[in-house]
Amino acid sequence: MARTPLADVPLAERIKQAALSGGNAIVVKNAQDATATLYAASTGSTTMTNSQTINNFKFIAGLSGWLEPGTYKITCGGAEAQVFDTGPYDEQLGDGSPSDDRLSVSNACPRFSVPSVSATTTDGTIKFVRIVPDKKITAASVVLYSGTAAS
Amino acid sequence: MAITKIVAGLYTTDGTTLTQVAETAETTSGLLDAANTRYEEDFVPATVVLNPGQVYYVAVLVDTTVSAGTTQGFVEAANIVSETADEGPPPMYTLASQTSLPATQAISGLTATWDLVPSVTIKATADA
Repeated sequence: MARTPLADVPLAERIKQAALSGGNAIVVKNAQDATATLYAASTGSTTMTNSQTINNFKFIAGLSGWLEPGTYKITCGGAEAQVFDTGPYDEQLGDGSPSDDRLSVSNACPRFSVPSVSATTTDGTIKFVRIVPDKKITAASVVLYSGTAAS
Repeated sequence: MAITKIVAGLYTTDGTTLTQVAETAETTSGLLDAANTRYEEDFVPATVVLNPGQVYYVAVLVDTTVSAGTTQGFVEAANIVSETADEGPPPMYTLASQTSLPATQAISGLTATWDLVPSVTIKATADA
């Protein structure tokens, strides 16, 4: 499974402020508060020390290291925490993907966000629905829900 | 049999033409043969790639011998001025009288609609 560079994770403002005010190291943990394995590269088994000193220059370049897909938490000085996912799956939620409710027409056309059970299906009419992914997907399925049955 | 075909496809766009890059297997059940049911089918090829920020269109075609029923979907938020073609692309295009999904389709030949939009969602099935 492909790893995600920690540099791609946008840092929450509260994390940045906590680090800038104290220069504290940020430790990446999984959601169960166990120390996560931080790799030195996208492949291989070489790991890094899971504690990084933050300064202004570090924010510009981003944090270092690579993570296996999963749910993690960045902590700074033990006071601030930010949870993030590094893959299309949210392992903590099990089946399904956190992208399910995002890769629909609502993320392409925000006005269309009010649920309905009455989207009429017409025999022989193709409906092309606009979507805009917010993360890269390398294999996918399509999900629809019926309202009333054909009769 | 009331439902003769259910198929979905994934299309890229260059602003003028939609081009199919993946299609699900055709089925005759799973959607619209019962009310309030969930339908899921993998796209073929399995390795289809969707890139962030890029516009795609998910096509859904149902052929039936009876009234086709409805899907769950989305409507435009209420109490706001309705969006028009001058303000942005439509959430959906339609193409009538079809029995299969086209490999390519000129957008000029489609009907833009701001009507009820089916709740079509893309679910990642593999890590990127």
